[in-house]
Amino acid sequence: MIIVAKIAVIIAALLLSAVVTARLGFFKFGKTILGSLGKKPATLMYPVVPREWEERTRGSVSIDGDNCIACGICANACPTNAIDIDKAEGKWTIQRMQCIQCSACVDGCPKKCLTMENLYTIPDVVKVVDSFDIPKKAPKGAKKDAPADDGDLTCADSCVFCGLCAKACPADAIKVDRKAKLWEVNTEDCVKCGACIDKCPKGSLSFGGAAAPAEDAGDDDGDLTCADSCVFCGLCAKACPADAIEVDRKEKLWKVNTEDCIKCGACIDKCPKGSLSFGGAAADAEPAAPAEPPKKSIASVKDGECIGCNACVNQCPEEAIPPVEESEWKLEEEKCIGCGACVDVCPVDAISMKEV
Amino acid sequence: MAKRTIVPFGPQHPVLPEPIHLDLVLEDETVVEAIPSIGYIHRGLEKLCEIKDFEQMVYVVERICGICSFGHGWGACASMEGALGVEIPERAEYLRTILHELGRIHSHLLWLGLMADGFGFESLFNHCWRIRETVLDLFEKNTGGRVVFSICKPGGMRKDISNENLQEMVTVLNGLKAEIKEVTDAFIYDKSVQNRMTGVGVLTKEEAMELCAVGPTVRGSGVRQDIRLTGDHGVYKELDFEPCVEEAGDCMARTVVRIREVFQSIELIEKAVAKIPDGPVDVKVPKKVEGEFAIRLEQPRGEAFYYAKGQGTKFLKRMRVRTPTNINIPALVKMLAGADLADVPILVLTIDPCISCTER
Repeated sequence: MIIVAKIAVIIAALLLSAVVTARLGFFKFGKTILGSLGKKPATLMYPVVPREWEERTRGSVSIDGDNCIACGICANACPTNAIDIDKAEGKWTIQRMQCIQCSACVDGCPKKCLTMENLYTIPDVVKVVDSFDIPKKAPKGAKKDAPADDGDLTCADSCVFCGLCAKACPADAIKVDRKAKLWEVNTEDCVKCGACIDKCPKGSLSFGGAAAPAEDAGDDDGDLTCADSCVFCGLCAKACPADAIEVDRKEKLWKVNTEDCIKCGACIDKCPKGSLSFGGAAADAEPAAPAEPPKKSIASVKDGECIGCNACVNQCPEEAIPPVEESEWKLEEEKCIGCGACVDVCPVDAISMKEV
Repeated sequence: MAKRTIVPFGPQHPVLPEPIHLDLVLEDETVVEAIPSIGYIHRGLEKLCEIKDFEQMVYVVERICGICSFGHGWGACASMEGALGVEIPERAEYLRTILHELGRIHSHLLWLGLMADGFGFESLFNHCWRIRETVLDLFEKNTGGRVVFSICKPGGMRKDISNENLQEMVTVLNGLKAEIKEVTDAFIYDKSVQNRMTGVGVLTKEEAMELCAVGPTVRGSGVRQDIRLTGDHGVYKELDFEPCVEEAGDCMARTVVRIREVFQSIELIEKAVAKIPDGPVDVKVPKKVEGEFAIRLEQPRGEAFYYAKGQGTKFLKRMRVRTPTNINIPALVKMLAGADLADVPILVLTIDPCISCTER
């Protein structure tokens, strides 16, 4: 076809040049035609000449299921909720029509088992959902499936009005006023995601009432106290919704303002050394530590176990762990205060405390 | 007084892909009044910003518009960075400026093509878009996407662009200059194009200022107004930026402003690539947003406004975007009054309308 077209154009050009006119425009016209004859077409002649992809071209997401640890970071990172992970069934699914190829999941994947392929998915007439097999994993704690999701969100009497639930609510459906001792949920706004239930330090929240666990009310008496094992990491102060705790690492100072303390227990959950308790004595299970903590132990990582997810980097209160690149985990030993926060947060249990 | 007729124009119209509806009140062939109405593609993106993690929101805000998507991503990131109190590295600021100017080239070439299509010059349209294709290839190579780039994130850039690639970008763009000149000369010197555009839809300097027009629309009326002059965003201060201004205020003037801006953007990219410092391209940002921040950007279509307000969680309390087309609609209505019915499509195109941006 092209050859025929080109021959036709050549004949036309020759005919035109035969009738030479005095108009200047003619020379430009002829020049353009002759110039274009030698050039390749601007289009690719696609099916014959294959399209070459750039290295960065974002086409579609693919997964290497064998390496997946079902951590769920990709599903959380996805802005369109296109990814679903069924840990119990061992299934990783992606809704192809929902995926916008932003590659947020690929960037977030700690195991680097997700990749962005150059080629887009094949066009289709139905909304495709692709499913991949990943290793099965028992759901953590298994408590999440337990509460029946029917009924409105309710709060038991054990509530201390800390307000953590209101902060966690993505729909802003919860209102908490500590002074007025007021807890309110706007059932119309509530999306029943359960984020507040996970966050509540007292376990007072549930869907449909009744289910609310009585919670070990017994040891709730007495003020918050801190045992000698404290390493002054400050995680408790950060967790406190009422800003009642003050920690100064240099001065080795831990102070609680008992008037502000609402006894929610959020700090107790956060303390990596288990030093905190209400009414003293109770929780001090740790062997009595020496008065000053001269780096009794520091964090270390088992060879080859680190997956480079950087969870510990973010958790470390002292910024003693520099960002992990290519799974090479380092520790700035002089900065480590031995709090063990990194041990708890590691998704693959690669970190342990070693004595020095 | 002649009999008045009302002709509906849009939201579906052969020359205009954008769904704007105009009720044109005609006296014979002359438009007496134009009543605009929009609201055909509202998608509720601002509300969506409130129920999604702020870092994820960038990918959604970018998709407000397929043509000025880099600017939208930048605006969203910059407003969040302001609210977080984060300073981004200099190299990231340079890269954003370079990509934003590259986006301007691609947007203006697209518009020139649509304009040519609007006044019925089909081959000119084809050539404008052929050149634009090269610019899109540059985008694909450097960011991974042709029209939606997803390379901005709060705190900087997701990927670095190597200095070799930047150099290559400059070489390719300089090579395009001759081709762009050949095509744009047809706009400026072709007799039939001049007949369609010169003296059509005049917006005087006073009217443009009074109606708060922005972007090439206001610069075509002789007003030296460009957000890049303020130096709020990007590194334009270091690039000796001076906006392109034309005095006539008609369709031709607005076209010439855009043509000159294409060449100016190539120069700005060249200057920025010569000056770009080495270093990191991103910084870590806090996970929770508090405080609020507003920023203005000069998009290819004019001034755009971004506002982010945090509430101490990872969800934003409010995200507000105001786009240039929204502000240019009063100027458009002014231009339409007194125009011929046949000129209406060209006049609507001349403000470079992006209704998807306007409605979000």
